[in-house]
Amino acid sequence: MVFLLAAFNGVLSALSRVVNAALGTYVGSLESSWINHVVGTAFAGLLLLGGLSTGTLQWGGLAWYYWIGGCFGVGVVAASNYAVARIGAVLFGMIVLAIQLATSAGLDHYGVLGGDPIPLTGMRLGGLGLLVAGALLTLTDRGRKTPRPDRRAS
Amino acid sequence: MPDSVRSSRPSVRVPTDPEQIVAVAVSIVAGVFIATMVRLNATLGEHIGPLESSFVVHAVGTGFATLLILPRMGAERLRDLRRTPAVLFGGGVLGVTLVMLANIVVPHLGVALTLCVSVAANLAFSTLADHFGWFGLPVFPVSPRRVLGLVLVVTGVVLVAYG
Repeated sequence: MVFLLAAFNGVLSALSRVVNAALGTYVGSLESSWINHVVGTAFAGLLLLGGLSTGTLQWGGLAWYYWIGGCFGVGVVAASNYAVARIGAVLFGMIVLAIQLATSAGLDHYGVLGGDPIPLTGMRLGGLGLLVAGALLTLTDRGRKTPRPDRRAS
Repeated sequence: MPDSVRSSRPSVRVPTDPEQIVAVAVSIVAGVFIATMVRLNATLGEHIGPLESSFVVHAVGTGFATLLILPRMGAERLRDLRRTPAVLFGGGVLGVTLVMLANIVVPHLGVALTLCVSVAANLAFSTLADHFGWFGLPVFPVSPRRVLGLVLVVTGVVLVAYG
């Protein structure tokens, strides 16, 4: 069940990449990220106001840095704007994938920033390596689409 | 498949310009950011709820993004908005759901396995979308190379899950 949710997460992120790329051609990437965050805040806010709660929205009991995940997300968009223009989407995507998996395995291994430690075994490391190799084959196969049109007014 | 499309296959070259090396460093930071962000959001979710965490993430992200785009706000930005198809504004709904799902899954699977399953599903879905040309994007039929890649990816996920 949790695996299905995680897989659904991946499908949604592929979808949202398509939508964001299209939105970006009209307004620019950072603006597109801003719009997503505004719409997302309104959407989640409405759900919460509508009584759909999954916990208790309360301050306290948690260090400040647990509250700034949103800044990281926007930072990633800004970083991709800078890097993709210089090294291309494929290399950027591969570096980001490999590093995010390595970092996540490290976070799991030491159990830092919350969660119980999940030891990094040889099998786990090998699995991560296979995943990166498979992604490399998959991503470098896709013919590069024509450059995105820029539909911004200026 | 016309030759003109196939010949535009991307090649990954080793970056040599100083500016490209900075771009590689920026990409590395982005990778660290993604994993860290997923962990932070999930821990916040364990304290205040997965949807509540997604709300906070988007509200804080709105504030931060506002700071970044403030210098380039202007009348022409509004003109951009007016010409944008309405459906494209729905990305934020996907974003909220994405973050909430990750917040639910991470406490059960850990960050690495969550990201692995998500990446595998993402690649499989993108392959289907390319093969059938969904969303009005150009058609890129499944090739043996892509199938091999996906097999490796799934094998990797299984190893991580049972490692």
